[in-house]
Amino acid sequence: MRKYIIKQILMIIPTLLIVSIVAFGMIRMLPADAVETYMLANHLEMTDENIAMVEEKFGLHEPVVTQYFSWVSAVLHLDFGESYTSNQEVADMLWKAFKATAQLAGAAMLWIVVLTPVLGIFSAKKPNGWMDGFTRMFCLMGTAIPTFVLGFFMIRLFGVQLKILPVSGKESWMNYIMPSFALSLAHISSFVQMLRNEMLENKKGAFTLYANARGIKEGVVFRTHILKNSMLPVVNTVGISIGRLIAGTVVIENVFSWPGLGQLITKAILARDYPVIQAYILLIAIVFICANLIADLLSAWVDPRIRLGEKG
Amino acid sequence: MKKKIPFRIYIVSAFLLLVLIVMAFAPQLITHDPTAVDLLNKYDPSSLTYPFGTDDYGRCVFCRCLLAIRNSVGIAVSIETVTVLIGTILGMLAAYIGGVFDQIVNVVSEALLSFPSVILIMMIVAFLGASTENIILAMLMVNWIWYTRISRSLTLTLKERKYVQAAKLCGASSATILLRHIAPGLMSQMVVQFTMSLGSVILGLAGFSFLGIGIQRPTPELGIMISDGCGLIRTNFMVLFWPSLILFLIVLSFQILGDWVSERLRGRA
Repeated sequence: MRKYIIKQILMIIPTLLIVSIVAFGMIRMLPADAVETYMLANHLEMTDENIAMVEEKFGLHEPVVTQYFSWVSAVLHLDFGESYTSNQEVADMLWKAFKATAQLAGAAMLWIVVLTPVLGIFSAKKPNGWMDGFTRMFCLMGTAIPTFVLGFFMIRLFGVQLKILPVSGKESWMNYIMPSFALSLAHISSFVQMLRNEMLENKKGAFTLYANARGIKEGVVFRTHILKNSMLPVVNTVGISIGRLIAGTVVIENVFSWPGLGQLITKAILARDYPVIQAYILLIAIVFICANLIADLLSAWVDPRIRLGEKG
Repeated sequence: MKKKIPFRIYIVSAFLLLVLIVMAFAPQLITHDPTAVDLLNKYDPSSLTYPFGTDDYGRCVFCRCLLAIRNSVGIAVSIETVTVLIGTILGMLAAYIGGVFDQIVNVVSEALLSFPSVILIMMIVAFLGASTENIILAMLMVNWIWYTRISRSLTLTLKERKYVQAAKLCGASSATILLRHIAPGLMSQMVVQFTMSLGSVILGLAGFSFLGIGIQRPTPELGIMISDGCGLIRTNFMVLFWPSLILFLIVLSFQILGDWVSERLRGRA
């Protein structure tokens, strides 16, 4: 197990190196000049003097390799520079936004972990019964409804007409209900479908037939033989979906004006705020690498076949 | 064994046919200029002249929806078609030629796959700047990966088939083998993939437009209309409701159709 973990962690280094070069190179190869963008954002006049000043400020007069290394060493000290538009420290902005997004994603994960098994068991207990029909309808709707449409319909119903849930802000736990549910719905739908198929597959398995032949109670067979085996691939996919969950926050945060990474990056793209975009690429790459690592470890933990190194 | 076509497929097909007609004849169907501002007619309720009412500029929501369907679905379908072509051809070539070319295609697609496509597309748009051309370019640059992988793995097995080997022995050129013996074998899988992902491409495009980094105003587009309407959610919900409902129904129809097509194909194989 330890060997496995160390190998996975060592694999991160080349990936991070490539991402850092891409993030750095992006600013260098911009179609729009970084100096120009900064001057426009700060209402500076285009004089030679000002251009030299800005170049000096960002260290643009040095050779590229030197710039890359000084940039990397700054990044390692968590110094991403200042935002072009708000003159705030990028690291501070990003950290605040990241916390908000992580909280939202965590709340969505809670919905997923609670609702997936419930709906999955609902539908697999009696295939083609009315509960199965309901769950399948729910899943079909869940994958087809755009998250922003769902978000607005929920705001209209619960926030404006029934007035039982707050529509924006993040002060109390009530604020989490709508955005996190809207974020999790598409994921829940795909996981439930997966769990249902797995369970129906396992129901036909030889071990289930044997357990039934031994006269074990139906409930016990369902729990220990069918449910447990069906959870394996689902746990695997839930781990992988952490990254997709964070990607999904981009739209939801804009619907519910959630002060997270998604809103930050959308504003940054529209304002061409390159230091923010650059730092975001690095951060998101690290988040995905960690999420993939967690997913790998999670599946190794639940599935002894991987943990004990059965190499196919 | 011939299976009966389920009832829902008839409904879905009828709806998609309607969408197709709207796309083809949108300019003839509209009764008002969709960009004409008429501030005296703000927030008209539904009526015979304005079936879906009017928005905050007094523009006819119905006419704007018709044109938006044409743009949203039309652009998404074009993107998807080009993506399938690029992806399939690239995958075929990678598998057929093999060697270094195959390795490069493989490494690049592996690297891109470790990030969600939404983030990749956003990063490309961040780099190029937000505009209609750039979102199309970005979606093309990211979406080919899946098709390449599928067509590559299919070609790898098709390449070993007896009839392909026989054609090779007869001295057929590589182009002939690829076009006449391998491409037809890929066709059905690609059609299924195409139908299945159409819904999500339409959804993705509308999502980016909603965020302001996709198709740009004043082109009427469903995502843009939803984004314009969201400020009216308390007062004039209907302006937001119609484009949302239409988008939902279109994506849902493609989803149902795609599921059915893939089920049929799996049943046959």
